[in-house]
Amino acid sequence: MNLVFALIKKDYLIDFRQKYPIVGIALYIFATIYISYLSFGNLINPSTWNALLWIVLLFASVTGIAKGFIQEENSSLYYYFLTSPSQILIAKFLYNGLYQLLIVGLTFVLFSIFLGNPVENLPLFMLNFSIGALGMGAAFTLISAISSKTGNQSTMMALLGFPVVIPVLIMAVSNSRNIIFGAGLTDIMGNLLTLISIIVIIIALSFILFPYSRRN
Amino acid sequence: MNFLIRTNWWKWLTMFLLTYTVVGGLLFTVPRLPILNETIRNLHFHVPMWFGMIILFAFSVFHSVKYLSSKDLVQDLFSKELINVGVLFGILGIITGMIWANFTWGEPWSNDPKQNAAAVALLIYFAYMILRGSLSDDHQKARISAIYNIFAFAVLIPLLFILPRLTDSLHPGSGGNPGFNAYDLDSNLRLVFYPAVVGWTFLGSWIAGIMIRVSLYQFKKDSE
Amino acid sequence: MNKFWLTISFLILNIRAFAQEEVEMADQFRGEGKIYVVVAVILIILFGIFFTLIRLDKKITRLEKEVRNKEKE
Repeated sequence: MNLVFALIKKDYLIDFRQKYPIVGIALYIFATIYISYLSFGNLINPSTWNALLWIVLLFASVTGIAKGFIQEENSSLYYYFLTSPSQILIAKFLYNGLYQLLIVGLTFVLFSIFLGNPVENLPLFMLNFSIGALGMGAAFTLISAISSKTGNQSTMMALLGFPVVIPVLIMAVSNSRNIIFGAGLTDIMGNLLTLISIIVIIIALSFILFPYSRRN
Repeated sequence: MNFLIRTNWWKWLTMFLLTYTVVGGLLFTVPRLPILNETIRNLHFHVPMWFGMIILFAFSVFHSVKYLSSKDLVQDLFSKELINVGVLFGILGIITGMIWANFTWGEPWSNDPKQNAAAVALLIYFAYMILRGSLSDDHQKARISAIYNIFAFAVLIPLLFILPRLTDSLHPGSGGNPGFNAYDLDSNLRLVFYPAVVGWTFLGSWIAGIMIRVSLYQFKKDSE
Repeated sequence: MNKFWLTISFLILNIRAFAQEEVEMADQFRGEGKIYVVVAVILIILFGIFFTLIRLDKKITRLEKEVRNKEKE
């Protein structure tokens, strides 16, 4: 467990010492939202608002997580001899989860400032939003491990990741739409449970498959 | 799935079943249903494409698992060629589906959950092909693409079940369209449909079998 | 389960109801026997594909044998 925390700390240190990954993502989110604000003005209906929010989140998390395994490839390979694959994966999951929550918070705040906020049941909306984001993070974790092996990481990341993340995205987006239009917890419970079980499947599969991606 | 390249008896079965499908599918009496009219006969030609695609992909996942446990490149060849034929079936299915939909629903693409699932399935496997193209080392290519194949298939299957729950399907059985469930009663359709699924799937396996053997031949030649 | 059977029986009733109305089918086309032309055309194409597949099958079998014989030598 200590090793897991050490790995998380290492990722954290790399990101915050270099600063540009974190600032880059923040700027990315800000730029996309600001462009939406400029092009939509205040004429935005809840459906569009919802769709835009998820699109911004999707692209922000792809760019955010893509670098996860890519930086491992050249700088810190020696870690791999000291730790087991499942420890590395747990560390990546936790770190990406935190990253996703950060992106969720930032996206939501900026969205509310620039494009308004049609949500009434805020806690439920944020719960669904965060679960969706965590699901994306989980799916992208293994994909980033795969795409780091190819020559063209960032393109491959989007290419391989988007089809795989669609099940998560469809459930989460339809939930969030329903919440905006006034659905309560009981209304979306079924969909939410399906969403969580898909995420569990993704995480379980990642643990089974990840060790194979490292072996040569 | 060594039977694909070892045995031959099922190829005769394929030819028999498909001949029977064409004759039976076009000549047997079918239920008279509105919207579908005579096109109900497409059931024996369009729908088996999807069944065949999913079955071929499932075979391919089986070989990917085998590759990961044995590191035998031959398994990777199986996996790759099965996906090639599966994608061919998928494309044929999507085109025939669009033609049929244009007649029955009035437009080729109508945000139907089954169409969307099909589109996602094809997207996944196009990505798979590009992934293979972007890796150069044989073993790495086999390993990484096997991982992606298993992962993507496992995500695709739940999608096939959750999509219809979210949006109303235009496919038979919902949204005012006459249901295929009711065909359980119509033994005439069932009599042709099940053999048709087996026949078309075997045809796909046959083509895949030949492609696998060609790849194996090249593989052996290269390693000499 | 009850709900399932209810749905099924509802569908049966539906089908019956449909069957009673006159649904437009290609009856005349069939009556004139033209459907056999279509069957014949599709069957010929199908047999052509089968023939090609069998030939390919034989060809690759021959190649495989050659490789095997070479290995023996």
